[in-house]
Amino acid sequence: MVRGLGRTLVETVAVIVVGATTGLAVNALSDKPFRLDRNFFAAPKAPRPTAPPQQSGEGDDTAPSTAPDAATADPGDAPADRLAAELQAEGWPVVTHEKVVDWFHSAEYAEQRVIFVDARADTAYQEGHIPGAYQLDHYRMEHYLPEVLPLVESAETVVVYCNGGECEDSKLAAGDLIDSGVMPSRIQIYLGGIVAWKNEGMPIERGTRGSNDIVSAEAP
Amino acid sequence: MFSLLSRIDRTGVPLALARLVLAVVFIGMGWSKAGDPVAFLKLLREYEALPDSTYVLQNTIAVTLPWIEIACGVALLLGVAIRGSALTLLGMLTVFTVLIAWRAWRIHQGGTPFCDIAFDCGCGSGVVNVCAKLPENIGLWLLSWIPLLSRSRRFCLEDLFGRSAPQTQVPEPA
Repeated sequence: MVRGLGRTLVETVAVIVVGATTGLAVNALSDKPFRLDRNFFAAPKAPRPTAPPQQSGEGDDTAPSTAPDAATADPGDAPADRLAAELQAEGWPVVTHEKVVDWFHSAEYAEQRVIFVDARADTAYQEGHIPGAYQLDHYRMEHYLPEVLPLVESAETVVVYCNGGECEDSKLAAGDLIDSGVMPSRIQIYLGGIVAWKNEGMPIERGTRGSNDIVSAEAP
Repeated sequence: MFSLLSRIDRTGVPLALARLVLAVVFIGMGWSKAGDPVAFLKLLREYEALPDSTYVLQNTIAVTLPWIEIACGVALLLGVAIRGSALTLLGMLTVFTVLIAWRAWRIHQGGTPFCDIAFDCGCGSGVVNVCAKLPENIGLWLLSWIPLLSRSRRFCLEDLFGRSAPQTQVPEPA
């Protein structure tokens, strides 16, 4: 039926080897290679926060039980609801949009006692992030951690966000920080993420941090 | 019947059309995934087909599989390693079609009508409806048999460089 079976198998191996080698070479030669030997979805090694952290200001906005995005302990069908319930069950402190906005306008943010960390990849970050947010792409964290870690260690509060919805990259990036020695009680997860930020018409910064290319996101 | 199919095949037209369609589809799908292995890795995990302990394998698949699709597409377009490319595509289509159907079935068990199910299957075409994606994959799977079985090498680089396909031993009808 299939003629030249031996040659067909040789061709199959050749095509797979050429394709795979090209993929590995492209990855190795890229600016920020994707590490093949890392388990990107492993739970953080350091213990996770088990209680609502003590915050300067209104702590009631940061407790998991009061966060509207995560307030529904009943995991619904939507992936975002499941993620919110999962974060809550694991004890991650989830912060409300209102509290994030308060921090954004506060002196603490200007003095870098509160720091925002954007857990998304380059393209998404450069398309628009919370003004002043540092980038920490969980999947290429070794490229960002040397810059971000000293700042995070000296901050009182670190707000980590990603796209929002079902995106779990903020949790994974928070785990990277904890694994790197940051006290879990300092970390807050902004579950609404950049989507909630934009939907509320808050300003975004395009390009790199400090580009001053700040535009107002249009509320839908 | 067999003789008619054989005559049609010898024109090289079915093979050329199948090669062209498969090449365009797989180069496009592969290219859309090759630039973002992280996104592809996340989609692969959605299938829950491999245990977490195989993370090195999963990472390697995320980096290499899109380029294997591109390699197959380019080979088919040029007309080299046609059967090997077709066999590779058949293998990938078989695995992913089963995975898509399996994932859709699990969602369906939760009460969602089967044809209302839509998700990003990691195929490179974004969020797709399962009732459209499964027939599309089956169509591509069937199409992949043409380059695997065809004896023609017309319009192929293999033919241009004088590398003949395995010759048929089927006697011509009297």
